[in-house]
Order: sequence, then C-alpha cells, then structure tokens
Amino acid sequence: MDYLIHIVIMICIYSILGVSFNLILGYTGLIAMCHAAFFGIGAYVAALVGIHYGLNFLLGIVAGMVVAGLIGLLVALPALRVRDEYLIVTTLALLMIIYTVMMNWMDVTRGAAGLTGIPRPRVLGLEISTPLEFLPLMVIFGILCLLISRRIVRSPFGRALKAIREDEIGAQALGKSIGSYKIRVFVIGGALAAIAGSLLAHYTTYISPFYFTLTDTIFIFAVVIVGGTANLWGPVVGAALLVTVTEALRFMALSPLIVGFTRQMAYGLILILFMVFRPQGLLGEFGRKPEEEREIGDEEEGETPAKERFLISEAREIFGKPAGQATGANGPLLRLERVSRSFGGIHAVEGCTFSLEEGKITGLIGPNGAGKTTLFNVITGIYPAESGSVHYEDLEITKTAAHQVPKMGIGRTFQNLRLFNRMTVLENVLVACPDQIGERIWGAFFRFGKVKEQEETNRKKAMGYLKFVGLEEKAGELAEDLSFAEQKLLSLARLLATESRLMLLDEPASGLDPVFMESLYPMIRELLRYGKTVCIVEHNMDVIRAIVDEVVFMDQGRVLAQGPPEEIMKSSQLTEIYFGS
Amino acid sequence: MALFVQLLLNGIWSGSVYALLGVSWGLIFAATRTFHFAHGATFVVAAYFTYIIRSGLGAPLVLAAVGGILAAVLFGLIVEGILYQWLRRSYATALVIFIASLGVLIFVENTVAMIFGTDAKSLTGFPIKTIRIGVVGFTTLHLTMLFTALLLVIALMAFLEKTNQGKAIRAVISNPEMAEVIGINIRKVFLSVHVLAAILVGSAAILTTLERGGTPDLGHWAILYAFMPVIIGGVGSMPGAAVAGYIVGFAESIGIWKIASQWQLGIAFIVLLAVLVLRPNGLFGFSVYRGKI
Amino acid sequence: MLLEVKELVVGYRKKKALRGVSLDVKKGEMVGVIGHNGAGKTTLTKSVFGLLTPWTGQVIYEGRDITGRSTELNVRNGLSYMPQGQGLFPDLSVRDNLDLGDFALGKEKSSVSMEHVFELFPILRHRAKQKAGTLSGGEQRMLSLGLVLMQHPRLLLLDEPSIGLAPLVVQNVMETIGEINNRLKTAIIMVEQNIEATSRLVHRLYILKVGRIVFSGTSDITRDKKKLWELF
Repeated sequence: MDYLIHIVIMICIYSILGVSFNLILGYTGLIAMCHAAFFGIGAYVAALVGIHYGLNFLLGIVAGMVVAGLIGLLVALPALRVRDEYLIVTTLALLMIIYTVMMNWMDVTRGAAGLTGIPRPRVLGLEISTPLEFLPLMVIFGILCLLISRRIVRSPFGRALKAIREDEIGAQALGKSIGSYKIRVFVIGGALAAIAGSLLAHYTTYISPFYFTLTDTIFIFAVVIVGGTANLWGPVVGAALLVTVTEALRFMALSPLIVGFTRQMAYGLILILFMVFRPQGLLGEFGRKPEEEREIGDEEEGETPAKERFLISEAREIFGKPAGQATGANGPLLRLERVSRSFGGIHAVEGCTFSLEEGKITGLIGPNGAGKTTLFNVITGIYPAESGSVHYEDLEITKTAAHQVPKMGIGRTFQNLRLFNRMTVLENVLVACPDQIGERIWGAFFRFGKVKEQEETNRKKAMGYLKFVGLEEKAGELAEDLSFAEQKLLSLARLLATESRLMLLDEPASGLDPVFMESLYPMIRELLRYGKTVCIVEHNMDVIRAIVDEVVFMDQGRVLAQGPPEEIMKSSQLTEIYFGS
Repeated sequence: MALFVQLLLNGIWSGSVYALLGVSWGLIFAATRTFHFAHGATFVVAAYFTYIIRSGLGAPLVLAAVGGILAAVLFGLIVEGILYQWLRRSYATALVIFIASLGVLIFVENTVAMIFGTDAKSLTGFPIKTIRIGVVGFTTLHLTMLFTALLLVIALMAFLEKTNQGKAIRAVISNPEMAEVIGINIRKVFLSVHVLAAILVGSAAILTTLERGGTPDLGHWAILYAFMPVIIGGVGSMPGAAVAGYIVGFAESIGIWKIASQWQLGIAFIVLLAVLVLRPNGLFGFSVYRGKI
Repeated sequence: MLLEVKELVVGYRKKKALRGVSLDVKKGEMVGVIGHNGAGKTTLTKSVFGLLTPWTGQVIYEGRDITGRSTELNVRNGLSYMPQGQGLFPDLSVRDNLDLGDFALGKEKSSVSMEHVFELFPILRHRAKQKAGTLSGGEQRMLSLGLVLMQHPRLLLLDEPSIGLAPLVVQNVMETIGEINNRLKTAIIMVEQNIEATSRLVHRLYILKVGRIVFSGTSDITRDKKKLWELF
C-alpha cells in the first residue's frame, strides 16, 4: 500500500516538473536541456536551509524558488541570442556546469556523497514522515503548480508565448518583446521546478548530484512529450504513464541490480516508439476534446471557439477609435529622409526620400530587387536605417526597436504571412490586440478581474475584425487549416487588430486568384474611412490601378518618382526601367 | 617548465580523442542537419563489441577492434537508415528526431548496463610501455591515440577532398538544395557520412576503453565531448573541429593544474559558453550552417 | 516536341501556385516565361524538373511522362535545372563545382568537358582553384551555368538567370545563354522577371500571372508597353 502511495507521490513530483518544463518547451518552443538543474537547485537549497538553519520547510521551498529563478535568468540571457541547436548546446553546458558544482563544491554540497539528514517537514507542529502523511502535501503542491500553469497558459501571456513559438518575427511585429517573454518563462519554469526539488529533498531525506543529471532532464522531456506538449494535462498524464511503467518494471526485473536499467531502457524505448508512432503525445498538441464531450465547466478563457458565445459587433463600432488622434492636417503621416541601408556592401536602400499622406493608399512599386520590402523592414525596425531618418507623425522612429514600432501605430503584413499556424484563427487575432494587461505576469495573476474584462472586450473586437474580412465562421479553426486565401484574410484581420493607423501591406495580392483579389478592393478602400493610412508593395498592376491613390516608384534602392498611377505608367522612362534593365 | 610540457602532452592525448569525437559528430551534423545525440550510443556499441570479441571470444585485439568498428558502422546505418529516414518520411519535425535520438542513447546505454553491469571493462592485449623523456612521461597508448587521430582525421579530409563520394558529401554540406538539383542521392550521402563517422567514433571508443576501461555511461560523456569541439570550432569545418578538440584537451589539462580534477567537465563547458557568447559562429568563423536543427 | 506541359496544377499545402499551366518547347528552341514575383515561375520550373509533385497535370519529355520523376533520372536523361540564386556550392572550388556537374551521369561522362566550359566562360579558368562563394555575382552565375552544362542537357530550365545582377553583367549572362542555345543546340526554358533582356533572346514568349498563362506568342508583344502594363 505504501508503495502505491509512493508511486502517486512520484507522479506528483514529476507532474510539477513536467508542467513547469512544458511552459518552456511546449508553449514557448524552447528546447532547453537544463531543467534537471532547476530541479536540483530546489532540492539542494531546501536541504541546506533545512539542515543548517532548521527553518520551516516552506521557507526552504521559497528559497529554492528564488535561487532557481535567478539561475533561470542567467540561463535565459545567453539563450536569447541563440536558436535551436545552439540553445540545446548552451543549456546543456549550463546543466553540466551546475552538475559539476554540485559534485565538487564539497564544503556546501558534500559532493558525490550527497546530503543526508534532511529534516522532515513540519505542519502545525506535526512531523510528516510516512508516505501517507506526505501524500496530501504533494497533491496540494501538485495542484497548486497545475493551477499556476493553467493561469499562465490561459492568460494573454500564455497566448503570446505560443505566438513566439510559432513565429518570432511575426510576434515581434505585433509588439511582443521576445527577450522579455523568454526571460520570464525561464524564471517561472525554473522556480516551479525547484518546488519539485524541495519536496523531493524532504521526502527522501537524502539527495545527491546523481538525481539531477542529463538522464533526468531527458526523463522530464519524456514526461512532457509523451503526455503531449502544449497541453495543460499532458505532463500529468505523461508523468503518470512513465512513473507507473518504470515502477512496474520493478516487479518484472530479475534482480535489484537490473531494476534501474530496465526502467531506463523502458523510458528510452518509450521515447523512440512515441516519436515513431505518436509524436504528438497521448493528448496531442491541442488536447481538444471532440465537440460532444466538452462540458460546460470547460469553457474558460482561451479554450472555446468564441463564435458560440459572443455577440458580433458591427465593424463601425470596432473601428471607431483608431490609436491616437486623427489629425490629418499636420503634414504627412510618415516621412522618410535619405534613408539608407546596405547588406554586405550591397545598397539595398539608398538615400530614399518620400512621404505618405494620411488617409491615402500609396503603392510602392519597382522591379525586383528595388528594395521595397527592405524599406518596410527599415521602417518597422527589423533592419534599422544606417543613415537618414524616419519620422512618424512628429516622432523620429529611426532607431526604434522592432517590437516597439507597433506600439507607435505602425503595423505590417508579411509576404510569407507569418501566421501562428497551430493557434486558432481567433487566437491569431487576439494576440494582436494592443496593451493587454494579461501579458504581464502581475496582471495575469493579480488583476484577474480586469484581465477578464479586457479579454471580453478584445474578443468582441476580434470577432468584429474577423467579420470584416469574412472569417467569422472559421474563428475556431487552426490557422494552418485555412485555405491560402483565407490565410491572407487572417493576416489582414490580425493587422487590423493591432489598431495601427499606418498599415504596410507586403504584396497582399501575391498568390491570390484575381477574382478573389478584386473582392478585397472595397474592403481595403473601406479602411480609409476609419482613419487608416495604407501603403502597399505590389507587383500586380491590376491592384495598383484599382485602389491606389499614389504611386512611389523605386529602382535599385532609390526612389525615382512619386505621383498618381496613370502618370507613372505613362512615363516611358519608368516603363523601360520596370520592364527591362 | 617540465610540468607545463607534461600538461601540454596530457592535453594532446585527450585532445586526440576529443578530435575524433568532434570531427565524426560534426560531419554528421553538417551533412544531415540532425542533432545526432545517439552518437554516444555508437561509441558504447563499438566499445562493448570490441570487448565481447576480445574477452568473450578470445580473439586478438586487432581483430576485436575491427569487429567493434564494424558493429559501430552497422549501428550507425540502422539508426540513420531505418529510424531517422522513417521519421523524415513522416515529416517529423527536428524536435521529434532529436527526441528519438535521445531515446536511442538512453536505451542503448541501459541495455548494455543491464547485460554487462556498470563496472569498467578493460581491454587486454595492448602492450603499454611507458616512455620517459627527461622528467616528462607518457605511454605507447598515448602515442597510438595521437597517431590514430591524426591518421583518421587526415584520411577523412583526403577522402572528402579527392574522392567523388567525398565531393558529393561536401556538396550536401555546402548547399543541400543544389545537391539534389544536380542529382546527388541525398539518402545515400546521409548513410555514407554515418559510416565514416562510425569509423572515427569507434576508434575513439576503443582507445578510451584501452586507457581507462569501458562503462555504459561513456555514451553521455562521448556525446558531450562530441558537440563541444564542433560548436567551438564552427559547424561545417572538420579541421576546425579537430583543432577545437585539442583546444578543449589543453584547456582541461591546464585547468586541472590550477583547479582540482573533478572540475574538469565544468571547465570544458565554461570554455564552450565563452565561445558561444563571444563568437557564436565558432572560433574559426566557418559556419555553413544555414538551416534549422 | 521536346517538352509538353499539360494543365499543371501545383500547390503548397493550401496555396495553389499554378492553376492549370500548359506550354511546350521544341528541340533547340528558346522559350521565355515572364512574370512578376509570386506569379509561379519557380513553382513552374521546380514542377517540371521533379522537385515538386503536381496535384494534377502532366509533364511529357521526349515523349515520356516524367511527372514527378526524381531529379537524378531527369539529369541522366538530359533535363537539367539551374535554380534561382546561388545554384552552386560556395564552399567548394570552381573546379570541384564543375566536377560535380556530371556526378549523376555516373560512368558515362558527359561530352561536355570542363575544357568546353572554360572556353565558354574564360573567367572561370582563372578562378579554377578559388572557392565558389568568393566569386563575384556575375561569375557565380556563370559558374552555375557551367555546372549544369557539364550535364550536357538537351533541355535546360533556367530560373531567373538575371536576378541580383548589375545590368552590364545581365547582358553578358544573356549573351552566353544565347550562345549555349546557338552553339550547343540546347533547348532552353527561361523564367524571368527581366522582360527586356528576355524578349530579345527568345524565340517565343509566355506571360505568367498569378499561376495562369495569360499570353503566348512572339516577343513583339513587349513593344506594346500599354499592353504590358495590362498583362501585368
């Protein structure tokens, strides 16, 4: 009986580890190999606090969380600059360094011998020592961590994490500071993992570095992957399966010596088999229950297709208030002066000077390689200008960082869309809404009411935008399941949701059926009535002729002319440049 | 001074093994863009097959070594040809392949531990004689390590430079899309790099086992010292990985002098982190790496 | 008829890039396909060559259906492809690059030797030992052409050979392409954005717009600028 309780306790501990790691791997898409280090830090800090200072175990847990959080910050900093396999290597290096410290800082950790005599926790004067007594404690902490994770995942903060996982540059273009999110998720993930470590230390009363090795990180990987990444319950299911299977082998093994190995063989094999046959894990990436099985209680923020529940307001009401005042008479909205940017000796953009007037649709045309998309990138801060200046309204934004440009009121679409594929259509639009209190940790946890209110409002707005582009029926579908044309519409809706006054559309017609494109013209012109200013990069002259007020003609990085479309197309000089040279 | 020379020499011996590990893993990584964690498993397979053939069947050491390397080659072919290619055909993401690779490492290491136990298995039959030059000393095994590393790395580079298949491999490393366009069989190239890598990593395994005995957890150790030189040297450069292997060897050797030997692993990783932060493309700035993991 | 493309429909996931494209090329002919970004040019060449499998439609080469066939087989049968951008191996020397050209031909080495290529592109001879990535833009393009020439193709698919090159260099490259067609009698399909340079060179012209052929005829069309703006 005690043994069964022990299994449940271990499931709790690994659930906490899995849930915390899922935030980093599943939701944010960061392949971090150092999770066992956070686990170990929590264990060692709690053990030391208990052994040397005899303080209440809760303080030990908090101390462990703080230290792990700080280490999480340290891990995040180099991690910000590297991607994918370099992240793997960096986090592995950090894991090994921390492991080496555990093994060799003899004075503090006693090295390979480990720490013994870790005191049992005391609650209300009673000492908790038997597995049965530990059970409620473990379960409570398990549920607590699960609730914390749930809050994060269902908040706008969690939504932004997923967006970053799907497409960093796309998320950045919506105003999300990538670095800030990554740091926060490492700190939180690390702190939560430390809780598991502290609990383990008090439970086993003995810890050593051998509990926190690379193999253990891989086990935590397995817990998350097997259960299903980016799924709230995934790690719990994964922990239950893996702990049970590996423990059950105890009964099948021939000798106690072999037990440890068969367990590990088993989970190695489980990893391989799952990757081959069911890479999305048991609960799948989204763990969506089929419609029939969904219970009323499930309908919390973030999980339900909004179309079933919310009123759809008229576009007019949604668009009524653009970000900032519609001044109009104070000169051009966007002004570029002698902007230059080169890449490795090639002058992609050279001495560009032009301006965009408010309330007009401007077309940016030119032969291939003229620098049109580069100009967009310069304006939005992805590749800042090397010389010259960019002014928006009266502010100079030449040096503004890419994630801050959207906050000024400039938004863009991308040639390759950069949608958040594994998020729903509605989520794609919601993520774009500006100034979400729930994107801050404090807000997500402590201003629950306000966040909920804001979510309601944003949902209504988002559905409004979707209705405007004709996608409201698809609100609950995944972005990757839409047709290409629908994806383009979603890209537009997402841009609208940013409430940008200046909208930069990069080749909106590319790849679209001409008839379909024609149906979009009135939609784009309609935007002008709501105080938007639009600039389009296009190759398709039908589009230019149909909706554009003014054309800016670029070639070889320079602006050659600015004027009405008919005038530009009549010019023989420009025609020659466009069609041959 | 003599101490310094001794440390330098120690760095050369361990650096030789690291160079073999790094060059072999780097070749696989540059050509297939896969983070082949299971390379550590290939190491273990080579070590233990050599041991079985030598101690179990009583064969001469050279024969056992050849057998061990053949086993490693076969293992590499199975992992790449069956597991990875199956996964790629199912459009598995890089993460999925990575995790499968992790699984292979764990599975193999523990299967070996279960069958053979965790005590260090030694390989007999190598005449280890100590050589002294002045105050400095080393063994014939150490010389063999250096010689083997130089021989195999140079042979590999010659193969890549001069032979048709070698050129095809370099083409895939340089521009995989173009390689497909001119009709190079990418799958065949992937298999061939695993074969070549297995020869190098297998040799490293046998040398290490001769030096300190073989244990199942050497797989972990091997993979760590495999990607370290590659990242430090710069992805895509075989000579870079080799030189970086020696740099790691030296850094550890000299580090041990000042700091206790148990910190050895930590030192290597601090060097790695420093390089990642200061020169992300590696010391030799040569990085053909363009894709995702 | 050397090549017949029949009603090709090609897409990526949900996006239809070609909506039923048909064209043909005779032996020794040079045909241009012009269109702007996103029109489907690269999709077209990749589908003909076998890098992409069409949803529907056929590619008939020398009388045989080669739809979706492997690139290796295509190269062996005289169908070669020069991709857009860097169609070479930057880390290998010029000589090694050319050596690889006929890799897929196996034992039967092509009749186009490296010597022929050096004759056509003398500059490459000077740079034989240099790493391909260190060559200038124009030289790299020459090398790409040389590479595929080593395969002695009967039909050559060129994907935007003028992209990213300075006007003078474009002239050079186009002249060379003309020579390849003239001297070696290689049939060529050239997809391009550069209308001027293309129209001067080709026997026939197609215009591709949003995945459809909107024009098929001689390059005289390019003199009617008004019509051009319309077709684009």
